[in-house]
Amino acid sequence: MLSKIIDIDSARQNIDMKVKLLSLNKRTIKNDRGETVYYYGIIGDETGTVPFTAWVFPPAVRVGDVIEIRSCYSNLYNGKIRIYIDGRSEIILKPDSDIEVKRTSDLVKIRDVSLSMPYVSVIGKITGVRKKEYENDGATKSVYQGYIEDETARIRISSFGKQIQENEVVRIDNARVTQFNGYMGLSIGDSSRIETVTANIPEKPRHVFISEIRSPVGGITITGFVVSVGQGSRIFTKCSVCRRIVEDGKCKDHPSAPVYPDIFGYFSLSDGTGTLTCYINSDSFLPYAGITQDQFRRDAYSMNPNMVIRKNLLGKCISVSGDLRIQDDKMTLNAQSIRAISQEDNREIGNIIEEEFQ
Amino acid sequence: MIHKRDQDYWIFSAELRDAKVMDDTAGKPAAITPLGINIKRILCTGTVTSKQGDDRMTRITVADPVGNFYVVGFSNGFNPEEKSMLDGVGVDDRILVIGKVSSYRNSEGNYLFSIRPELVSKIDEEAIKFWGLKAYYFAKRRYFAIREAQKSEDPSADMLKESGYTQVEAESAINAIRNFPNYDYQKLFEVIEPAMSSMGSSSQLPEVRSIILDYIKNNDLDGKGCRYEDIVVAAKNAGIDQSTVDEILNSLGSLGEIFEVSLKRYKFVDTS
Ligand SMILES: [Zn+2]
Repeated sequence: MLSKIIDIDSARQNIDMKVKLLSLNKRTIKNDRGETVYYYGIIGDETGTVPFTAWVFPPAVRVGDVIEIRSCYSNLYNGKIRIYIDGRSEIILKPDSDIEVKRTSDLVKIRDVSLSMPYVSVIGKITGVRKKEYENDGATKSVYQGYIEDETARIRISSFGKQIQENEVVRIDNARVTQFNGYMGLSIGDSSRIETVTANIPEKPRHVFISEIRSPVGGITITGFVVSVGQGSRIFTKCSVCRRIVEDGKCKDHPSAPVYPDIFGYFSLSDGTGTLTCYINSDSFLPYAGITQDQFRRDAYSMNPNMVIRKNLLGKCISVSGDLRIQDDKMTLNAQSIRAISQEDNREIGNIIEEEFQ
Repeated sequence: MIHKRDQDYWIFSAELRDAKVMDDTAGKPAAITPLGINIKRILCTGTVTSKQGDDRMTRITVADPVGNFYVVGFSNGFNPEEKSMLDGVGVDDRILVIGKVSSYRNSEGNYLFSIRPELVSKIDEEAIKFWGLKAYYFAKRRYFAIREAQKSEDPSADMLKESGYTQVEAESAINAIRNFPNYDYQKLFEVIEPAMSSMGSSSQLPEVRSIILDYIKNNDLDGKGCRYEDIVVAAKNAGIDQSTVDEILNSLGSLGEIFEVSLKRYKFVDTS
């Protein structure tokens, strides 16, 4: 007999089920015995969705396919049900069937939003709202772009049709998890729901330890020591209208617009749990280095950016706030602000540690 | 580009002191700490408590809350800046040191560890405190991973990762069980824990601190340092219990105000 996802609520053996494959990822783990490959993702049916781990998975099956899984088993993992598919299980492709999957989404903290969950629910404050119009089938439609932030992180959101209000605290259900240009995001569509809620979102630095970073969310703070400084820093000239890098001193699209210098640099930050590459520009670096905009505009082209960055940052203990980004499979941090470590930082970090060891 | 290199580990001097030297999988000698870290590069902080040297080498000791790191730089080494970086710091400076761990055997056959510096930088008290917090966090998580692994008959790193430990923590726990089956972890944390709590509370005890500091300053009669037992008795007479004495001695040591001349004998650091 086929089981429905909603009925699998404990560890069980020999489960048969008919489901739609909603996401599929492959991972290779290296250990003493060599390499092991396994797969994980999400499957769903008319009653809900559930994550799975598979030690074998047929290469012909793609996301969106309906499959019958025979002789799999369920178990609790991190307090949640998970389906396991091993060598005794059988996966049969059902090319002619379709399933209307019931989207259930877990309420998660924004820091924990990742591509392993296709849909999530979050509670947070809406900020940075911009409305954009676009044409679709001859009709003008609106998309609202902005951020949603809670006490753990900030993430980009795009809402198609549904209006979002600056500074409003909301609960969003069934938001689709996306990753665009290396940044994590949420997409609010027809099946999503937004409601105003009362919740307190404290405004303080959101400290994260590097080993705990799972996905490229924004608005986080990492405290650590600068252990090395990149030698590829440069001074760029940018157009004051489009903010793009210009060659030959003037912008092709805005030849009469004034130009200004910007600095690009990067360093490695270690926090004892890992190391992260951080990128800086003049907005994040100059205030920390105590260089005024006027000074920088005057001296930018005569300074050695590698030396200035090295002198100000190497070996220093700093708190860097900004957005995480995945670039070439590697997590990086775009710094928005840098400051020397403070007593408050230590108090916060002390609290995080104390809470974990309670 | 930034070169990919060995991760720097933040570990207390007491953990490094108890490390062993073993052959790694490539047959090269490698230091393994009791909490299972295969330590090549270390990042440590502390107060410089002594500095010696000549034209050829400079050697400093850096005190963390629980002991000393030994940092040595040679003028003819692989990195020509090695020695000059150490020449640039003085006793009482608070510093950060990143460097490679090297080991040598003393005449009794015990391994001793020193650090060849790659980066030395002066830092402030908040940075020192931050390092202590993270080193403690890191040590304690690895200790919990070891305890978790000890519960299983056939522990594996994958199993520990499933319980929420990082790759490094999981592998260290397995490493520790394999190489330090009889190590007394309780004892290690009996040294670390009071030092951690004194980092938070020592500022609330300025009077008690100065009583103990003054005693050490004024009672070093034979020049060999003040005996621990005598400090405890004197403190008791002033209404200070022994665990507070331990806390304060650790904290005074880590701030470089006193140092341990020989086992359980303390000397005031005269900076005037
Ligand atoms: Zn332009």
